[in-house]
Amino acid sequence: MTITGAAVGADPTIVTPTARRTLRRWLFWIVVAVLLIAFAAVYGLTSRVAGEANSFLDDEPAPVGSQALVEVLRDEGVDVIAAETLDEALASIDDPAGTTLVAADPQAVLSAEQWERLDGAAASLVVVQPPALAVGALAPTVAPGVETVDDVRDDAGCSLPAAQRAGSITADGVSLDASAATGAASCFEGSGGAALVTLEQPSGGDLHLLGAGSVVQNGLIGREGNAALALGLAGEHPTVIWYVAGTADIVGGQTPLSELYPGWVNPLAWLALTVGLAAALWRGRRLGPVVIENLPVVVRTTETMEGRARLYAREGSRLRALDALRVGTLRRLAEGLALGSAAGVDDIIAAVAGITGRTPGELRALLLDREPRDDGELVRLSDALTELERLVQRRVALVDDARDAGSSIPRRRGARPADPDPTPEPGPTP
Amino acid sequence: MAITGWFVALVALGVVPVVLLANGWAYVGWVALCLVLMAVDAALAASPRAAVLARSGPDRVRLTESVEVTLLVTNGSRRRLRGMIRDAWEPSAGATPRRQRLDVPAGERRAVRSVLTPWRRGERRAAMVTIRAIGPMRLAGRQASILVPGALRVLPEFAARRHLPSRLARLRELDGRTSIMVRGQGTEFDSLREYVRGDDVRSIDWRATARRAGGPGPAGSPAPTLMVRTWRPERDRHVVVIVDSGRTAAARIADETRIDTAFESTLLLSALADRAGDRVDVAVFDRRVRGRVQGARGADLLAKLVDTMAPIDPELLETDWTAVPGLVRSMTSQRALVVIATPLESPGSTRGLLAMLPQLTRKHLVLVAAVTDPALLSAAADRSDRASVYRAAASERAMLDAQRVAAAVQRLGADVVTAAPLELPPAVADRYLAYKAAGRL
Repeated sequence: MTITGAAVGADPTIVTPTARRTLRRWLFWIVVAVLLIAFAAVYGLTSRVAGEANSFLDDEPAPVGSQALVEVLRDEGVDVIAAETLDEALASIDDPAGTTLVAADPQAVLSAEQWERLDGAAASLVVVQPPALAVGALAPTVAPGVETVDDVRDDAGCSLPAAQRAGSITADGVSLDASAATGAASCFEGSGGAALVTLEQPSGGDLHLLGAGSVVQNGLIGREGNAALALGLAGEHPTVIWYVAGTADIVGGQTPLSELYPGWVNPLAWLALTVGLAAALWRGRRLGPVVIENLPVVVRTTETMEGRARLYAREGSRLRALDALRVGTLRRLAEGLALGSAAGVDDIIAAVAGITGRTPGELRALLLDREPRDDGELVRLSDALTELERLVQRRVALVDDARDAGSSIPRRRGARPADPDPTPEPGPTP
Repeated sequence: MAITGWFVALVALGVVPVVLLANGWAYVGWVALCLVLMAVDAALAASPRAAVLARSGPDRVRLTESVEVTLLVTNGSRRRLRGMIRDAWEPSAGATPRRQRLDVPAGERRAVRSVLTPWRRGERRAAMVTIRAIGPMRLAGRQASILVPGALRVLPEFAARRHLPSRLARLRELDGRTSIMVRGQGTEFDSLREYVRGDDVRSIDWRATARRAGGPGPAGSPAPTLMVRTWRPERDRHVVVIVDSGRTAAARIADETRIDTAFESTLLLSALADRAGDRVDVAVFDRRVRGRVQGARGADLLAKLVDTMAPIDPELLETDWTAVPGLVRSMTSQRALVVIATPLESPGSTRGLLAMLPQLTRKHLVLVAAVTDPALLSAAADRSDRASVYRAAASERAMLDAQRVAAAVQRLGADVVTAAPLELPPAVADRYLAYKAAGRL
């Protein structure tokens, strides 16, 4: 390990850099990380991610929001009060006769009972893109409609002044069918039903079911007569309560989730995380760097043999493989029978035939002539070769044992010791 | 910088204030307190950079033996140095224990001992010493790695030395120090001594007996003391060992590389030949001379040999056999026994050796010592299924190749000794004794 020039004056035998040198080395990355975190914080505070845009919200600048309409209403002198919960919306109403309540429930969180609470709360109730529960609670005679998309309707078809002024609208949202309702005015009829149904609230006051939610949304409010219709409906009274239902309105959700468990749970989770981090640092700090060592190359000797065996097997070189086995067997037979390295195949066959009693023709077929037709026959021939070797070994050992056992007995007539070569002599013994 | 398990426990102890106060600020405050304590403790720890380190211990060890090395740690700071120390050797040095506790009061010195049991031949180095000094609260510490050079030369095992006593006994038999000695070719006259029972009657020197008796005496005089001649084998012969450290020597057979087997054979042969009064010169060669021991005798010879062999590992090169005759000429000018330790595998890989051999056999007695692979034998015997039959065929083929090469070497006038790794050193020694007895040196 070499010490860089930054360590001038430091002890060159100390490998570990000092805290100051470590800091200097990492300074660039620390600065980069800090800048990135700062940028992310600033960006996150100043912008909202488009995927989380809230439909119909009064301060939502995305195409699905309604900031444009709310701003125009405020410019026109209308007092717009934004409410986040049902209770807040109802509490904000001071003068019901001079108030328009605009209610939307894009996530369909309100129950029928909650919708009924809106009944009669204000002189004019505008329900934007009403869910089925709202229609059922406030105007049971109106049938909740089907979804409509990008549908321009240019026939007001009703006597509502706002609708008349608008002339034509884009009807994105839901259509409503008010044909069974008495005293209801259906405006902007289309194939699926009306885009706007106006009728009496059950407790008195106007009820506008604005199925075409696009009329109040930033994205389409400039198209056709959308703006005229929206302003006409919402700007009818000097005060507007702009209420968009959210998760806070869920029944039973009046107590926030954080109040359901004790206050120390969150800090405890953070503490557990910190303990885990500290434990990781504790166990992860090693006592000095890993020592490397150059190891010598190690070659396995049997690689050539294994490779050749696989080649034989893949190419099906049965005869070649069997011949190699035969050569080995012949060599061992010649050694076992003390025939010497110069002995030919015929000598070996004759000797083996003599000691085992097998016919030379049979041995010749096994040791020379037969060609294996398939792998099964190759394995059988290989087994026959080992069996022959074993047999010869046993016979030679028997002869040796017999000779050893007989050696203590004096031989008759001064007979020569038996010839070590067990090859039987042809012809009758003299 | 390092933290201890106590610091982790301290952080975990934050459960108490966090639960009691049930507040996020309790968590923040506790973590901040822990960090402050950690920083203070690390600052109070003795500086490991101020430690003065020195090594002592043997610089040589035979493979499979253990040696104790000592590291002296002097605390140069004014605080007590307490914590862990790691003397980092190369892994194959087999150092134990890997890390130890350390407690050195200010200005004092302590010894840290570790035992090295290397499992590989060669030069083993100590990389560095790492000290982690823990603060008085045992929460955090400072750590530094310091280079302290140290090396241990691991010598070849020379496991074959257990064969030496029996071979030396045989050598003494040849040497005429025991009574059953035979006069033969390759022996030289040593001395005259009185006949004792069991001596070969053929070695009675009648002329010396007559001289001793002091002229012809009367027939009734007591029998003269018989004198026999003693003989001893030729001495001051030259043995040259060439160890091949090329590509083929890197192969591992039965848990030992071929070059290690060659080293074992060389050591046993050298020890034996040196006792027999012969000169032994050794060269380790692939394309250049990797090691050479010449002109050493007695205890010095083995010491020089193991020292030369210790750091040599095989190179992945084809051995340049054409340079070997010149190398042998540079080592001896008279007739010598040249032992070449190299594998005899296939005709292809030994072509260079075969082409060079006639130049050596013309003048010298050449012995090629080759290792055989017991795995080949076992593979040839296994015929259990189709794949193993093909393997058996391939290994039979490999053995046949080796035999053909050995036969070729013998035709060129050299002798061949082949044996499994453990049997090769005594086989080479036996062959040397046979040469000695037959006077072929």
